[in-house]
Amino acid sequence: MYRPLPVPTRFERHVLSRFTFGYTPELLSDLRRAGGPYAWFDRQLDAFSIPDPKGDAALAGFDRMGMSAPEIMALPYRNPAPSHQDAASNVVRRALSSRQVHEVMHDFWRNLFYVSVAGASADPFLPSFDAGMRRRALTNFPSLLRYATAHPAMRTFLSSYNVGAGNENHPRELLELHTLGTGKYTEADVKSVAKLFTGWAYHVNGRPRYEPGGRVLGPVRVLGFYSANSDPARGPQVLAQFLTHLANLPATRYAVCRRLAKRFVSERPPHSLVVKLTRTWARTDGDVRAILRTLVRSEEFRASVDKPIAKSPQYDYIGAIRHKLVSAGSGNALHLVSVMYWYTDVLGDADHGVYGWFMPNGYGEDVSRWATPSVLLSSTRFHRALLTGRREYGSPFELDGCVVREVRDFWPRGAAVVTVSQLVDHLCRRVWGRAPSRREIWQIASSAGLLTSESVSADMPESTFWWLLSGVFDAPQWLVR
Amino acid sequence: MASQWCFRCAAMAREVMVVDGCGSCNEFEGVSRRGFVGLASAISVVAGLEVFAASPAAAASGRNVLVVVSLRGGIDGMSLLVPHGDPAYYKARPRIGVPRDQLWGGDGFFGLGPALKPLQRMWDEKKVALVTATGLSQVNRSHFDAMAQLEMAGSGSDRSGWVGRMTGASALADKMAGVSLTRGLPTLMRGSSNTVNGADLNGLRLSGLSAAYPSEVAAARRKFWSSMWGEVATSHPLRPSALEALAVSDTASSVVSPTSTVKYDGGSGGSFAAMARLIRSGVPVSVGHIEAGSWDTHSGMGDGASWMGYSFGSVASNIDAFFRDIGDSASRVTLVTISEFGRRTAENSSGGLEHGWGNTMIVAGAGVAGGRVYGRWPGLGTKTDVDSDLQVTTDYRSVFYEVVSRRFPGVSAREVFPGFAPSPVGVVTS
Repeated sequence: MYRPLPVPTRFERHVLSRFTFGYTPELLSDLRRAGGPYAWFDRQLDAFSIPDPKGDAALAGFDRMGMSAPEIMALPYRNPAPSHQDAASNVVRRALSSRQVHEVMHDFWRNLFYVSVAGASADPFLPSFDAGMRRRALTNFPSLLRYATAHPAMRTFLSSYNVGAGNENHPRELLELHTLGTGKYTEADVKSVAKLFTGWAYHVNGRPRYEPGGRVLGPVRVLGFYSANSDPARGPQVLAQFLTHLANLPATRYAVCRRLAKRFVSERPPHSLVVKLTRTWARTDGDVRAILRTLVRSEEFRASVDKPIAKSPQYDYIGAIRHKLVSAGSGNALHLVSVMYWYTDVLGDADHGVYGWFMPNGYGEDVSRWATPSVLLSSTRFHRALLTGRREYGSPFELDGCVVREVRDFWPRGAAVVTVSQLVDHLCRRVWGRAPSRREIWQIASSAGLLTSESVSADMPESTFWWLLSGVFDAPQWLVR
Repeated sequence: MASQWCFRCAAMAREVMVVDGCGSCNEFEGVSRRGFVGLASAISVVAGLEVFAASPAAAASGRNVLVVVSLRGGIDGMSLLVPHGDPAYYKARPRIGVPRDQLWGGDGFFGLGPALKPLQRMWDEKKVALVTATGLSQVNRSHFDAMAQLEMAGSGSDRSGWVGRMTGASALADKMAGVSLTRGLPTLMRGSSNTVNGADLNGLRLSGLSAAYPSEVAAARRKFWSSMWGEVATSHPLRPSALEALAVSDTASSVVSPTSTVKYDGGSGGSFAAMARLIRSGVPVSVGHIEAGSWDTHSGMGDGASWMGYSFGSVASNIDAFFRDIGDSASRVTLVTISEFGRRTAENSSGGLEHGWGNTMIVAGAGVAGGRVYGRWPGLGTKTDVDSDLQVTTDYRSVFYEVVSRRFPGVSAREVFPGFAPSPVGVVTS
């Protein structure tokens, strides 16, 4: 007998869809077991107390991810490249991890402190950069800023090794992208900050080293910060002091809080909310968890229920992978990610392949960057390819070591034979987290050439079943969060 | 060969061989390109079409078209247009300089390399011209920065591309005013709702709408999409794009034109052929974009004649084939090649060339006063350091500015290239 899956209330669904890579029925059980949306959210903020066997297994499948930069550099061949594994392991962890808020926040910071996998230069440092950013994803902003700025991945990406005070690349991005924003600093500020970046030398063994001899000395007065900058040996400490100062400037707070509000509340976030977040920041020294707690409990967040944000291709693709992929096992899921890349890059928007965008500003956080016909068309093709394991014109792709869901795994429990109407109802509840209207059921059934009243079992033609499920993923209800 | 950035599959594969791309993209290459060609003929055979499809877009078929060909990786313009009269050239390239006896066309100073030989017909008919010492006005030796700058062409914080701005103009407004036959929407096409991309035309279709599926699947899927997205609340953030997507998918599906007898060469041939089909089928495209080859030749260029003869010769023959293929439409189609930078004057120890600056652009087709070289030769330096690179004397924007203002009278070139004061090149006269 067909028993409909429970679906979340509007607010439960709101919290789950904004703070995860996509709704699943398991999330709803977790949320209710935890005692409701706020309790679930607070529990998620204590990420490292949540066991995450699937997320850990995902990482274990990628041998490069456990290596240090010197170990990677010592490899005779880098194939498979650490950057591929980095991108792939991120996709799999985001899809399978039980620490969803943590994963979303890692993505958020990793896109703010963006290091591209393009260009290969930062390659050996990516595993440690991602691991470090993950550890700090729910700590505090000053610590994230200091870590990201000093990390060899960022320094290599923004070429700030062995530089004189004339190199303004990293200093400019620090002020423009990572903290204050355009128009909030002057060219003179950039030049002053550039002095603070001098003295770091890149060593071939992958360990960065500070060389006092390379330090450009002399007083630095910038953005309310002053240092005599007279002792070459104290260069690293002076930079760290400046970063702590910069992290707490009002313009930095505002820019970062606004970005958070954009990601989780609205494309055009209310000023009132951003101000609330900056107040929490001021009280807590930029404590990420405190700021998020303020956000999720704000009236602005509650008011954004049913005002959907378009899913970026990453949210769309990873969300769909969450439904298809059971486990990455000990194999590696590189192929899955190549297929994802193939669709984002070949047919859609290259910015949204994980870390594929090559510029330091990260992939676009604005819907205008991904709301294009090409992206939607490729999305439909990705859904079909993912579900069937076959590209439209190509050979099946092997998901080495992965366990994926087949037709019977999507079937309603305890009901061998159901009507098409019941089957669509089940799939929508499972994927959208809401019950479809009769009209929507009819639309999806017709897309697969079925009548709603027909009876079907798990032995139905696979291709027809995948068309039904493609319809669920291609629908407007899926493509928003 | 040096390890390279793979331009075909962006981030996922980067340790690649020059020209061939990387392992994973080759795999996909086979799928998409061959799949596309095979499918195209299948459609024609099944439908038995031997005439142009009467597509609804055919009314717009009279519009002028610009085809931009990106030669990514930084092509060596001095192997295409060889400055044999500059004594520094052969001195700097003892092994890879193109031998004088292999040059053709040109004059006492310049000669055209054997790689351009397939363009001789068009050169003789004065349909193709070369512009020397062109590029970004400021030197930039990063592939990524240089490409971004080249394609944004002076946009501000909106990160829009110049073709995006151009196709946003009301005179060209149409869903497929800009079509890039590439993976990923390139920067130059950004900032407009009138640009689309797809590695081939099948990439611009809703799943289920290609010839890979029976027609009843296509009909059901189409109906599903239009009713589902048509009925969703107008406040849905993706509704406008989704409804556009159906229009794009339908337009792409209407591209049925006769199988051509024109033969293309491998590699970029598929893209040139697809672009020709697009133009012939009457889709109201104003700017087409394709990528041809990858040119980051840090090593192994051979004796100049052979390497460039082989690799660019293929692109040159495809340009020639493209113009033959489009037939009468050639009178409204102008093609321009662009690369993010030229290469160093002096060869390196691996028989290749490091990143340089000034380059050669090919301008062909409608409106072009061809059969000659444009631009001012600044003279080559004699040292091996970066400052003896070929200097840029003609900002590449001046060339495109001329194309836009001469060929697209309804578009404000000033708005396409904001804040830019062009200098006359003379290569496009009508």
